Amino acid sequence: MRSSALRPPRRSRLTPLARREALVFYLCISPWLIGLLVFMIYPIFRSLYLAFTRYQIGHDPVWIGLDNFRRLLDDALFWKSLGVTVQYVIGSVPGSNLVALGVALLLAQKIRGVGVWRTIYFLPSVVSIVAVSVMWYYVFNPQYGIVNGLLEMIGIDGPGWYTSETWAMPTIILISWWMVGTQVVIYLAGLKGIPQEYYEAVEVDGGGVWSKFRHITLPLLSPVIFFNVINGFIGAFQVFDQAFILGAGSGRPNNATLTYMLNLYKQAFEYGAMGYASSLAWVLFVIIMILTMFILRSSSVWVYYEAERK
Amino acid sequence: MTEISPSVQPVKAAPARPRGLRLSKSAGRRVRLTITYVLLVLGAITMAFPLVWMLLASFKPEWQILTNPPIWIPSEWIHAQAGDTTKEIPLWYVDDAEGERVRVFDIGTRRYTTVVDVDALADAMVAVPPDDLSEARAEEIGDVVLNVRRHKDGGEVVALARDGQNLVVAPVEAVVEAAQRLPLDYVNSGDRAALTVGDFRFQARELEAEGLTVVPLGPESQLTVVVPEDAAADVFLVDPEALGDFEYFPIGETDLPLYALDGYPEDQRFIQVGLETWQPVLDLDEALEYGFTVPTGDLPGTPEMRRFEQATLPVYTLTGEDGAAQEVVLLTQTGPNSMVLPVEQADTIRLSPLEKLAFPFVKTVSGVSLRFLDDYFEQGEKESVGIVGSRVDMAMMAPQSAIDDAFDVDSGSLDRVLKIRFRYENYTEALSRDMGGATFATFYKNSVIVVALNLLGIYLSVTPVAYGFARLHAPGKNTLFLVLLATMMLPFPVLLIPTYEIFRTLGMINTLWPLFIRSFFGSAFFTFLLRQFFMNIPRELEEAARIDGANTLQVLWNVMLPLSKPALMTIGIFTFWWNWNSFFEPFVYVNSIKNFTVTLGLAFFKGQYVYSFHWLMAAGMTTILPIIILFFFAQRYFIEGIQLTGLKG
Repeated sequence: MRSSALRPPRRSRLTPLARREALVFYLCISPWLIGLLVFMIYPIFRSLYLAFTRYQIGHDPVWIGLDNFRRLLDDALFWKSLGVTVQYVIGSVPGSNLVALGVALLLAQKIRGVGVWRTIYFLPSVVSIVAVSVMWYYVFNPQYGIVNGLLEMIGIDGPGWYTSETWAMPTIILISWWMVGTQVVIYLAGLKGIPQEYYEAVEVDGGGVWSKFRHITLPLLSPVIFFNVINGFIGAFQVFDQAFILGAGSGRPNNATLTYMLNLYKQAFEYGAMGYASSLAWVLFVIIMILTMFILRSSSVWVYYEAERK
Repeated sequence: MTEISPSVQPVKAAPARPRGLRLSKSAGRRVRLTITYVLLVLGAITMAFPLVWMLLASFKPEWQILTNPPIWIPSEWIHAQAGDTTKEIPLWYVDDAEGERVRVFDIGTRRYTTVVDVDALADAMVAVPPDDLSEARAEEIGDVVLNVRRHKDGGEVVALARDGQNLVVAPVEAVVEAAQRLPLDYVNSGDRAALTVGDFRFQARELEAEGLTVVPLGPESQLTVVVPEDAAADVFLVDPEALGDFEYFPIGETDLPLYALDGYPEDQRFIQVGLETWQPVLDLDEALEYGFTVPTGDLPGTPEMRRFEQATLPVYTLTGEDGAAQEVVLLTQTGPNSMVLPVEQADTIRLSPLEKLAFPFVKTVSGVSLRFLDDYFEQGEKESVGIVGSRVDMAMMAPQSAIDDAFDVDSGSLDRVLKIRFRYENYTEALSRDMGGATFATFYKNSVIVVALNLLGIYLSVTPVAYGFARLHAPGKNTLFLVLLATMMLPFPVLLIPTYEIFRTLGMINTLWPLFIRSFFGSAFFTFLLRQFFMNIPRELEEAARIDGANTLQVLWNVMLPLSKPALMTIGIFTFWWNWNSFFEPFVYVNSIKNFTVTLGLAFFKGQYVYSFHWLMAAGMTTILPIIILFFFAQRYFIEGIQLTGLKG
């Protein structure tokens, strides 16, 4: 492996001892450096190149300029999958954050057996979505499922859930609300960081629970909410496992669960359109970048940083 | 939350009434705590329910998983052994004449319908618009069941026919007089007749025996004749050809046919408990040990059909090269090859009901496909059987004496006899079932390998890198650290295709290598985590070791690592967690079933109808169990790890 980074730069002001230390440093980090070059830097450039080619694995890539991107604009599946993904993002990110925030607020109370409660709320998030997916087939089964059973008890004719084109995505969104353990933990840490005196101050002023939440908890927690939303947002755009499993690997029914990543996977590995899939990957990257930037910009409006006040 | 605020409000009045304040404050707190607990419990039920249900389902037989209403506790049906046959007859609970709950089995059912002699109702009938009538409701009045409707002007009526848009109805009291309950098969055997009474036309049946033309009204009902479970011991199998004449024998309100049987005295009668298709089977060991294959063309002439127990199989006489004749049973045939078994060894051939033979495996023995089952139960014993020969229809018969204790009940009042039983075999079956050259145990082994190598790789690579960034000085270090942080933000879809290419070039597609090899080249997240931890270890400890002559490796091993156990635990747990649950990567890089990991295996098995629901539940549980156990013992590290960076979900 020849690389300028690997060789400590020879500078006269380095003493022999410092030079030795630099050598040890580069030796220490060499596994990561090699990984960086092979599994990060090279793939990025390769991927960028492939996005402008027609490429099937085993053949040579053919440069076609912007054709992939033009094709993408006319590709109904691209728009469909983008729409499905946006639907998931809009449903899952705010919803799961609301659930997580609610759970964290409950767990932050002075309650007995915090460990037990925390375990119960966290467990759904540690298990593999694939392993529990068979269980979801039961829970949302239109005919025998518990959800429709409960709805029937209150006189509602339950929908077809994952079998229905309208309800398949909402089903996946609902499942995402179940797996909020990591967000809860982060919110809890954030809540612990809020000084108790602030709440006491509100009490002195005669404020109730709502005032405390509105004027202390929410503003002081907003950086954590922001962090969770950004993270959830980036993750949600790349959703694959849930959609693959509940859509039986094909975006069933009628592409209602064809997420962006599922479409990308199919283009690359089922249709062998590696070049086109690369362009899809970069478009996704750009979409996520732009939207993240947008949220970052907007954050100054709704995220409260204590440090700014000083 | 808002409901609570009024009770907290008195805080304002605090200075004036300190006592009142204390009271209302604690009351407010109590209300708030109660609401908190109620919400916590509701939430916990929602969170835990799916997993608890899955755990219970993993111990159920398949039929109990998708039911409406749901069956919560795993249980099994209780059966009675049917005589010497391999059949197990389902048992039911029913209240006998004394109102005692007894265990019985079903020896026959007859369906009934309500019929009406409309001639007798000629004066009572009127046509009314359907909107004037309520919905029909089945009601038992006297001997008959009628669909009663309420008329809007009061009074209860029964609809008899349609008259254009209107319904022809008669008052219930009148209908009851003219109605009787008759067996449906008997009514249907009557000739269809169009009947006109007054202005109305009816679809009727002519019943010669009664000399009546009646209109079948419904609702239909069903009576089941049951006998106490002991009678099952007398049940035997016969060829349906042997069934002779029958006559109806009354049992309570119903009757059942009693048959004469060829080969039995004329005056003996038998009851038919069931008629179904049976499959010859034999002990698998016997078939494999003594059976051999011969070219189908070498089987001489037409076979003699010979009985082995109740099974009838073709027998050929083979002549060996030494001229000795050998009688063999034909077990199974695959095109040009046949598997045969010497007659002397054919003593385990018997019939088995088809329901016991669901989901057989196929084994190929010298060019012949032999279907077999290794979890076949007979008389409570688990066995391995080969499935041979062709199916036959057989009648299960019981002697007339069996019906001495028989009685009739409404079919709806039968409850299947259940016993709570956790079917732990689901787990052994799920793990051992061979699916195209691999079992779930194989997937488990693969996952363990992948996780173990990932752990090894991560520890080997992350430790020195983190140490370098935490302790050593070198030009370019800060820039490189920024690069390291930046790589955490890299979206993996962009890397996907080139990474696939790399593994393909290295010949690693369809092996486990792509699933762990990158761990040996570090991980930005874990490096960052460990570096932060290293930074907090006092330098003095390290320097003391250096003075004693330790080199960098020794310092790492003897000083830094022992002090970093919490961080190393977190790293290990996260590595385990993510790799064990990982689906996308194995899905992309592995496509031969032998190299599947557990998640991939589950996703694949889900699509296979022969790998049924209860096994999926059990396999799913074994997949999530290691993670759950890990979580219980190392919850702290999970939570600290997440808090540390909040990365990944």
